[in-house]
Amino acid sequence: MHINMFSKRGVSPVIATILLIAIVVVLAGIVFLWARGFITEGIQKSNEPIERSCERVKFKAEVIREGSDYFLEVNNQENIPIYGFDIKVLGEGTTRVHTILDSPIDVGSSARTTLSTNDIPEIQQGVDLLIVPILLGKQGDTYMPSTCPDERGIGTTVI
Amino acid sequence: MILKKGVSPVIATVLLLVLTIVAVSILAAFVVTFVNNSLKNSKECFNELANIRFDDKTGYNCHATNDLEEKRTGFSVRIDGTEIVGFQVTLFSQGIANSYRIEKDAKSSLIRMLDKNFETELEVPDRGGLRTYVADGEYDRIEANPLLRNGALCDTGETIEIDSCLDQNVIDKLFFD
Repeated sequence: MHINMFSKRGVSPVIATILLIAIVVVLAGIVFLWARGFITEGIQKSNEPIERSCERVKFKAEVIREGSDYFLEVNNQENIPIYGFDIKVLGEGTTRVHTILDSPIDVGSSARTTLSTNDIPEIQQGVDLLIVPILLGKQGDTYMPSTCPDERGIGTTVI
Repeated sequence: MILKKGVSPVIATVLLLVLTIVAVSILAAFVVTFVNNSLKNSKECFNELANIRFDDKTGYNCHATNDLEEKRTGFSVRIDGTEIVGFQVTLFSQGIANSYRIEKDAKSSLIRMLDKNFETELEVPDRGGLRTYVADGEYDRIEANPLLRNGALCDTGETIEIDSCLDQNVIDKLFFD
């Protein structure tokens, strides 16, 4: 049986190129979909990273004692709603953090929140506090609270 | 023999393709699961990498020796991640290193909280919090590796070089026990 090797036909260069490109595109797509799960999406607020919103937060805060109760008084002076606060009790070589999320403060408004000694046992007159705002942002479709850096907080002493 | 017929080229090609796809699928099922599991810890550790650090502002990251030749080393650790439930601290001294796990309510005869005695419960800072620890001995370098909620201990962590304490108030606190 005689076979003429040169008469055998393979796929044309055009088809071969298209096949190669298709394989590469499909492989790249699979790798991309797989690797995307390892990239964490940042929290956004008003279509910008929440860190940018933190930079613009402006508020006044103080903690006062009336009788045996302690109150956190806050005035929000910027057009960014504040969702809550981290109250950091500053001690000798120690910072204890207590989160207050049940008192959102709207743009331009003030709020007064009772600080329970059950929640913050260390609170007493003369204690140094750092009050750090928490903003509400979005991660994908989920609302997420995000604490601003300490630099955006206000230091105060309980009076 | 030459007249014997084998499978046609089309069937052979289809068979090869099917075999390849089945082989790749079986391999992928194992490899993808294995790689995913391996990367999961790395990813979580990577996310928490910047969330543990030594805090220089306290002034307690230093070592001292008292009149009785007792040696103490202080270090302040700040945690900013919600997934960090503890850390492994490695204390280096003249080429020798020893590691200790600091977890909630753990006790140690060599490490204590700044204001507590040895062999009392250790604390781990909450997110955004800070604690200062005192180690028995003089160490020149300390490394802290995060211990995550899922039980993983991260390979990479934070390291600090330790110098002698200069503040007498700090030295007094290191030897209060």
